[in-house]
Amino acid sequence: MDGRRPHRVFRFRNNATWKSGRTGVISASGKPDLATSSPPEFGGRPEYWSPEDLFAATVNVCLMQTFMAFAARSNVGVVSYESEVEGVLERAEGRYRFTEFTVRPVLVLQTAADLERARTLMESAESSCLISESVRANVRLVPEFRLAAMGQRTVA
Amino acid sequence: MEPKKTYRSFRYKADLAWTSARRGLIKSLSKHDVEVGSPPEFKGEPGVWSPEELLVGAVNTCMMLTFLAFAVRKEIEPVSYESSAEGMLENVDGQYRITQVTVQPSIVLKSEADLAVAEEIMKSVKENCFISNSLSGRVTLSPQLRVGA
Repeated sequence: MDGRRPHRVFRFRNNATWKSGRTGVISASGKPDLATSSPPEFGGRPEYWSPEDLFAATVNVCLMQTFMAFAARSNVGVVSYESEVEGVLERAEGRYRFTEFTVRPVLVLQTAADLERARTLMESAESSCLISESVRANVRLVPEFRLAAMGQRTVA
Repeated sequence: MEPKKTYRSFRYKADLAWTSARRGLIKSLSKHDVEVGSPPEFKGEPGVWSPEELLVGAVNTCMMLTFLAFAVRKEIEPVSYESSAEGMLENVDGQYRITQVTVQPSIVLKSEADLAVAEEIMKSVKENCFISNSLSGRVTLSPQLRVGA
């Protein structure tokens, strides 16, 4: 018999409620409500997060969290992590969908040794991010690693 | 020669900054920042949106907004639209991913005539929802429609 621990299954629930026009609210137990709208190109309001924006953001956030979890485990000194994502929504095989996400994290590391380890950890993060695995689009990761300036070398 | 329809493509950006431990802020132009973190199952905090939850929320909202866009085109307006969604994260061949998202909208319509139109619209919502088209997992849409005030 296979003595491995069985993998758990996780469930995530939330509610969407229509407010007016092309706007609504996403809510989930214990979390702040999130106002959403269609993107402005599709008649929505630019000041609200659209499902397209949120979708692109999940790819970005997941990579950061996966990287930070690895960095914490390996005691890598990260001074800052900022990242931009761009998702391309286009018609493919007759339907609109996201075909590509480009994620551009900029990391500032405490030491040259941290920087080298961060490069390796970023590669691992890329292959184990569960959101990247859940989307059909190609996820392109273009990280930039910088060494902290003198006096900036303590974690904020 | 038959003129071929050209389709536009769109780009969406979102910035992210790490704040502490497993938390960060997502930012996008004129929108207010949203705090994000790991889900509680992965050492995160329950009061913060996680990417897994935002992804399920994006599918849920996308279905709603797609329905509403078609409803406007067909000149009906629902009395209310509320929808619950659930996503399942499980391990497949050694890698965790969202394998399934179930969306269950409850829609109240003004009349039997509107209800019939809404039923017809619902048939094409899933295939026109950009977010569900972008997922590798299975998406199920199970709407409940009724007439009411």
